Amino acid sequence: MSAPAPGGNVPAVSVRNVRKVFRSQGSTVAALDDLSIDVFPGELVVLLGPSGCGKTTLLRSIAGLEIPDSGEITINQSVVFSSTPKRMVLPEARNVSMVFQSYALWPHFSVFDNVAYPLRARGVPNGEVAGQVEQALETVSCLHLKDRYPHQLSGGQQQRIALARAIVARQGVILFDEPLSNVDAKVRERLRIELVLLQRKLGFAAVYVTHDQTEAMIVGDRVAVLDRGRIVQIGTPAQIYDEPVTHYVADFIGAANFVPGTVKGPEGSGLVVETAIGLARCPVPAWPCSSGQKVEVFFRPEHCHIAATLDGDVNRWRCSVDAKVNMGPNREYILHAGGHRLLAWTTSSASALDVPELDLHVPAAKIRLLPVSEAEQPAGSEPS
Amino acid sequence: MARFFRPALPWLALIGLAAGALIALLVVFPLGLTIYRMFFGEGQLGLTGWNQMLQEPGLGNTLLNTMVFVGASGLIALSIGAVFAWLSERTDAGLGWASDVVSLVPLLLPSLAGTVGWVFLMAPKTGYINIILRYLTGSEEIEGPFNIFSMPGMIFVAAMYLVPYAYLTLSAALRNLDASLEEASRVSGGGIFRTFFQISMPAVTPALISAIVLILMAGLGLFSIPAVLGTKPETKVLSYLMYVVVEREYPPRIAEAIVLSMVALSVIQVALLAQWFFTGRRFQTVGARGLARANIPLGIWRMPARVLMLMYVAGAAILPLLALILVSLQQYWTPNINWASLSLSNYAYIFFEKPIVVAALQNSLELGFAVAVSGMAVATVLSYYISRKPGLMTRIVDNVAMLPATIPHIIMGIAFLVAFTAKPFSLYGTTTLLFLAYLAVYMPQAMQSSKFAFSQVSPELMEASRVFGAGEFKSFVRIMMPLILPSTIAGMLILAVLTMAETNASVILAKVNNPVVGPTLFILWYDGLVPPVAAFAVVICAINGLIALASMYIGRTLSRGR
Repeated sequence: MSAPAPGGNVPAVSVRNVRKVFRSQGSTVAALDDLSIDVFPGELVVLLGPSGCGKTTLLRSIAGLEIPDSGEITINQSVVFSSTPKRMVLPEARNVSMVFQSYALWPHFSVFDNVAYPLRARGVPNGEVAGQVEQALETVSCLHLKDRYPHQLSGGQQQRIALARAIVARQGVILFDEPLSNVDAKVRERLRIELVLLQRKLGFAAVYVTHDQTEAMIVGDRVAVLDRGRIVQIGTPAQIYDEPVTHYVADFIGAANFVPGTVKGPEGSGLVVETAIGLARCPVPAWPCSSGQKVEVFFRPEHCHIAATLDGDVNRWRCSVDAKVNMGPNREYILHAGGHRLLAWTTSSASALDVPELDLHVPAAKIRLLPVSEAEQPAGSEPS
Repeated sequence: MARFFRPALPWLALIGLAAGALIALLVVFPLGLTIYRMFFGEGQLGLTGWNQMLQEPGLGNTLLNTMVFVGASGLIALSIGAVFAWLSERTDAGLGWASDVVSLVPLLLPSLAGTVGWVFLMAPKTGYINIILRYLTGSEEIEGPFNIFSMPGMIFVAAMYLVPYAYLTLSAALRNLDASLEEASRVSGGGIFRTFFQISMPAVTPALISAIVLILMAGLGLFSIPAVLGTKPETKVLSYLMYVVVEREYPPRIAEAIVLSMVALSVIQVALLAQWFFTGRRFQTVGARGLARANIPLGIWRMPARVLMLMYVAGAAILPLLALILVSLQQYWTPNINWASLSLSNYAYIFFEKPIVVAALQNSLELGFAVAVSGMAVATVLSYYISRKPGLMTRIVDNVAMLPATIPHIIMGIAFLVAFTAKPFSLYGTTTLLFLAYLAVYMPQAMQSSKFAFSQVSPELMEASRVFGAGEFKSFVRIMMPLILPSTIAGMLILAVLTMAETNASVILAKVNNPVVGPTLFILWYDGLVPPVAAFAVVICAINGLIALASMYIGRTLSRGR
């Protein structure tokens, strides 16, 4: 479930069994439910999930802006929060930096004074401030803006200044609270790349909150998928994408096809599952599963092969075509079979596919089985 | 490096506690003592106040008059204020900085001065407007067509004085409203009127409700207007009745005044309860990113809209001020203007032959400054403390600080008389007594200004400062203070001008040793010294205007320097 930890074995940030309950109008919501996570030096960990999953509460708890009910948080081996024995280090004494969702640039300070603030607040001698500020601004290519005021900057520029302010004091840990959600798509793509390059170059540990799964895949060394205050799965982007452990994770990341079924039994090195669209053959999952068990068959649209007719009968299903959508690099076929909607992507634009019924094939190695349990079906949480 | 968990921030808790104690001294102590005296006062126990009230001739009529007076003038004021706020904040009909002046005009012209100005304009026989209208229509009458000494006259003047309560509250809310809400309405085919009624106003519902409550409180407390225009039994309202039983009757029937105030108080409490009920949801705050400012083109409605706003300025300020100036230059109050005999002799009279006028001016200026600065300082500390430490204790402090808003000034005046003139305070006839009373009376106003100031600053700005290594105190000084400064100065301006114009509590507390402008003006008016009253009123307006302009200039310069 967890990926090998890059960059050393002493975590820069360590969260242990943290719990936080919000009470509002009589009902209680567990924003953090016995959650633990380690972030290692030089690593960028993304906290991913829909709004209300607890990712922002976790980030703010690390920063000291939110006080958990119980658990322990350690930053650079110093305990900054602990419920037993009681200890709460105030945000200003925690030695972390943060990039806020609204950037939180102080409107009455110039760009220079904004970036200089963390240095001055921590008592860096005046003589050294200017040099370090200019270096930080240079790093984000914004030195020419240093005498401007925040309201004179574009969204992308404000974001860069917020970044410069976060790196200037070289805290070693930077927290990002949906930093790119306020800039437009083109700028966001560019800033995303710059941010990754900067993080690799400066080597700080980063905790990055987002609800955007594409962004999570691009910037994260590891991605933690959160649901109702718990980490459902943590791993490299590839692990999360290819080996989701639950329906929730599979559905949240990328496009997915799900077909419910029942395990029929082993066949060769794999399993056969009986579903409404026909028999499905797939590898044995890592979790225990036996004949007669209810499961869910999961595969991604890009792993589908479609043709008017296909040879072979392993994982070949006859589907009706409902619509075809041009997605740029791919064509998306919206299909249905056995009462289930299926999506298939192909790079082919051959007219041979313009038929009312198609054969759909998925290689057995690309099919995953997911456990079916009531608890794992998140109610009404729609990924964006 | 690591600090141990602490329950609260000591410096903040200490200052908060001190401010809370001050509020308790200024609000709880005098009111509590007064209510105690109501039942156990001066050796007599019982319901004297209730009996006296029920024996009051025409009591039902007075209550009915009050409802009509406050209801009609409040409704008119709310409509005018809402439309003006929307016009100047959301459309291209705004008059720029003149819009800001619009809202302050009635504050610059104290209600007593403005009311006297309207007497000069619309007195049935001698009012300038009546004379002009009679001349234009060729009428043979010697009176009319307007009579300011009537219920419609009182409503008319009161409405103009209540407009700013609606305007200031709503324009602040509308200013922060995302422009795209209205643009979406226009693009969806909603006309100007549909956009106003279905989008803009519902979006600022909390502000609308608080404007209604403010207007209700102010309307019930309006005293100068009924005291000049509505002294006849058939137009008597509650606030004037309270004044009469305390100051014009001998012996003063303080117990009755307290019972009367309870009637007004219960109405206001119901309104507050409704406000609390309806504004459960949070006000929208301004993010660190600036929103686009709305600028809805009004097309052919633009000129009429501007004319309407200018007409209000004329009605609320320019016309009564011109009338005051004109009368102040005359030897006698007469509608026949003898241009050759106009002179400054009335000014010379009040300045050189009426030492009480000079003393009143000096006192009021000093008090205005002191109340503005210390009131906003206490309010800023208190509201920050309240926002940082939500809980039962701070809710109580908050409510106590807001309590004077629900109590007519005249009652606060009586309460201060009861509480602070006896030992150990012995403040009878001192400016200290006035200072403390003004501080208590205007604390809700100060609290509202400072809460608004804080609501304008996104919490992330303070959080960022904390994360980047500054402690709470340092963050407050370096980040919060500069950001709330323009709004705080605006709040001080309002406090200073209100203090200068205060009449109701002053009438009770100001004696010959500590005269202030409001009661002094009133005394001159009842003495029939009409042209000197006009001259005095003009001087007060000039001073108030200068203070307001100076403070506005400072406020603007500071907010521009970002």
